[in-house]
Amino acid sequence: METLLKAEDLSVHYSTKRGYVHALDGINLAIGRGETLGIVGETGSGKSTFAKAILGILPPKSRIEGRLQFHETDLARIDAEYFRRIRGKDIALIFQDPMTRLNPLMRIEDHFVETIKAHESVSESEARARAVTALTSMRVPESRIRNYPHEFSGGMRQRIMIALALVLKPSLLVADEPTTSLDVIVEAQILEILEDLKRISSMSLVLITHNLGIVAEVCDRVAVLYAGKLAELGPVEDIFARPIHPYTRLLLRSIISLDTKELHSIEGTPPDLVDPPSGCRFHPRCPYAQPVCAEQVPPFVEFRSGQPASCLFGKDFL
Amino acid sequence: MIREKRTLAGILSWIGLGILVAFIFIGITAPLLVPIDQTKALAYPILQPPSPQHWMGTDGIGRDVFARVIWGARTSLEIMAIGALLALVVGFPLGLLSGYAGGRIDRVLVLVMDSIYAFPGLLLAALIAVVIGKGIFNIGIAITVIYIPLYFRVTRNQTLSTREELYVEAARALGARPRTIMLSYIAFNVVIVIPAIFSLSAADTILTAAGLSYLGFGLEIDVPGDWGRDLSDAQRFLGAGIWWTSLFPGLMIILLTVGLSFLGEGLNDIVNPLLRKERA
Amino acid sequence: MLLILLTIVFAVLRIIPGDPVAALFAGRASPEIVALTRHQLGLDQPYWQQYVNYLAQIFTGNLGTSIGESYHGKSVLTIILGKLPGTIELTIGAMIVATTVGIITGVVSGTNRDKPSDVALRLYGTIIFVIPIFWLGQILQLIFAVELGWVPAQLRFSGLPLPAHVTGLYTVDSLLEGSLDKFLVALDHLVLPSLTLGLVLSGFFTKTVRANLLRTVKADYVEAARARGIPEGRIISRYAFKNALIPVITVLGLQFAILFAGAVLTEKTFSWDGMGLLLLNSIDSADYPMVQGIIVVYALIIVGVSVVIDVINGLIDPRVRY
Repeated sequence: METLLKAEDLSVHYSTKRGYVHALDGINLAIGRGETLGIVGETGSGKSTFAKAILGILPPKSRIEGRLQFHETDLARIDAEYFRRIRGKDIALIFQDPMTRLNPLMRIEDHFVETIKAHESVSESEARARAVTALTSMRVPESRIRNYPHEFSGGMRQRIMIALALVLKPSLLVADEPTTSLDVIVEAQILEILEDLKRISSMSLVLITHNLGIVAEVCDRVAVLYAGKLAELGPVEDIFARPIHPYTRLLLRSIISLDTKELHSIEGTPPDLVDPPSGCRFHPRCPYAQPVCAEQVPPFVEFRSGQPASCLFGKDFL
Repeated sequence: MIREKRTLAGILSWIGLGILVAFIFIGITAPLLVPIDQTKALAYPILQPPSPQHWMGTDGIGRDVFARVIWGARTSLEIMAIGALLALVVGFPLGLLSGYAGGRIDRVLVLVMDSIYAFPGLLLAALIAVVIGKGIFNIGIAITVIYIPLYFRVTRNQTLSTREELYVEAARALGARPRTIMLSYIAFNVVIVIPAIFSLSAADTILTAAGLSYLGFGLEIDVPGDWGRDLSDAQRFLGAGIWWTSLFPGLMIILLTVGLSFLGEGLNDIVNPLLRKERA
Repeated sequence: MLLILLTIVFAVLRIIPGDPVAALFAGRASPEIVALTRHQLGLDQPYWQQYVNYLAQIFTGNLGTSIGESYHGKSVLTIILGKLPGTIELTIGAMIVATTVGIITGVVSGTNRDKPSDVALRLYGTIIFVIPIFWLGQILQLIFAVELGWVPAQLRFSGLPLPAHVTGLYTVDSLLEGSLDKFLVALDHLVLPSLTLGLVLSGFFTKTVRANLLRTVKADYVEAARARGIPEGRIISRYAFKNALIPVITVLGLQFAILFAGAVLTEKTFSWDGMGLLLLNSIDSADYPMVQGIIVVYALIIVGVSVVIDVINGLIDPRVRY
């Protein structure tokens, strides 16, 4: 499979009053063309940071290190204008909360026309035609194209956002918790849309979520992030059926289903990223932790083909 | 970035406080600083430009401008004190009542207060001043009326939001005595806000009072210091290029109001985060 | 709301202890004359009867006849309407200055957050708002009219015959008449008063525009637009700018009351012939009906303006419409 996006030792720090927040630390992963990669983790694990890094919309006081290769371009090294031309056209982003993501003073149609014209020089009428196509493909009625954002429900706004993201046919779509703020029924609709997209196009999708259920349904591979570092990565079936990293195992165990008789949670809280734990960042909460875990940073190696994990004792969990 | 901003406002409020204290000092010691009778006409030759004998020159009736300006501080502070204090005394309980009781009383009071607030303050004060006559106390009352809505509104808002919180808390904490706790808590929250509101509106009070005097509705003619009136008197001499009768009283007004504004904004910056923390 | 305002006016003028007629006369008339005037004006009737008459008169547009020296016997309403354009012209001039200066400084301040220009402009905003209007007027007069002689210091018009009356606004009327020289005269006279009133008001706008701009720039939809590759320039103009200006319209409406008070002061400073000056003169000449009439008109205008602001708001911001 052709690689579309490749992160090599990618790190992102934010500078804050209290010190440097190491939001992402040494991320290594690759996304293939047409592949759907899920990224799961708790709040503060670095999921959103990763999304923003790909899109180049990190906050002003952040620093990127390492490489983020998209086609022939290293996204960590390009200038603002170059990135602007990529954004929305080759790489697109869907945000979590659709309610506040549209300009209340602009009609939906204008949002589309503006996006199209920011990247291609087409006539007004052609832009409008493409807007209609994009919207109707998301099952938003054409008659509503001149409405304002506040006239739509949350679910429809998210569909509009998706249509906006796709109107220029990007090769990579990043979805940052696209259904978290939506109710279950709408969530199902959105997921259906994403699955359709998978089938129809050769677009790659990075699906960021804390909901393992969605990952199981939609994704091909999944990456587990913890405290800014990759805990585990691999095909969905393998990760779910044969997880290696203790964190992954605990996460899976905490999923609630109809058969659940006991509630399992992971003890403790996510670590402070300004001063993360030494060695393996998960060791304070890991039920299998050994003294060496606090001293050595575990390397991210494949304990099984295609399934790397960062645990010193990964072999034991096979 | 956040720290810097706070320091700037902090510096400004210290400056403001300093200015206010200086003015209060001047106001209190005016008789000592300037032991002349500032109401006597032709005490000095008229319309003299600033000189070593008269630092700010003399005005059209032969009075020393510097002396009048100093006395003006005293007068202004008196009016400000009366006006703001009375407004607080009336507005605070009304706001408490309105916020606490709610219902029809609240609606009526809010409507009345909003209407007063909507009316041009200066005009309303002028009307009242015309009707009840001149004099420091009367002016104070006229000004009070315009500022009552402000204190009312602030108190009412605080009362309302505190009441919301406390109902929730009370629901959780069984056996608490809601009413007493509520009143003292509300009072606390409101009292914190008062100094900020006071300094912000005090600046306005000075301007309104000066405006009233300027228009001729202010104090009697023989008050020893009256910035507004001095500016009104100064007007007919502008054509001749007499600038000192106009410049200095105005600068004093600006200095005092700016000081109060700085102080007010600084206090506001401090109070707001405090309020939010209280809630957390 | 209107009713409350009118009632307040009524209350102030008639119910508050202290006799407004006597106060207006300020000791220049004997008690008999004061009593006679009161009787003629119907002020010795029971309050409720007065109130009814008062409201009835207002709604039929009858504001009484003047009893002052200058306009004795003439209809109050007519006189007021004659002087109204003066105040309107001044008000519009001041608003133009205030919004232009306020928006420019607010935008510069907001887009250069925390840099020296921002700090300086914020200080400007705070300080200029508390400068006494009449003082600023006098200083400007001293500098630009007396010392430099660039513009006239007083009045609305001088030197040439007035333009033919259409709107009462000399600037507009002279343009309608086609006389450029009259237009320039009117404009010359308008400069200082507008600057005076406008500059002082602009302080408030500076701060409001800046705050709105900063808030809008951080908005979620701005981030989303950036994520679609919308150029930064367009984001500022189409997203930040427009959205930030909406509250300004509302602020404009709220400021109207302050505008009126300021107009009165400005009119006195520049001997500008408008409603403010009329009010002052009427108070001086104990013209009770005129004073009452002017205040009533002020109240009506304030309510009218707030209605207009609501309508404009509805036009600009689609969320407000229903």
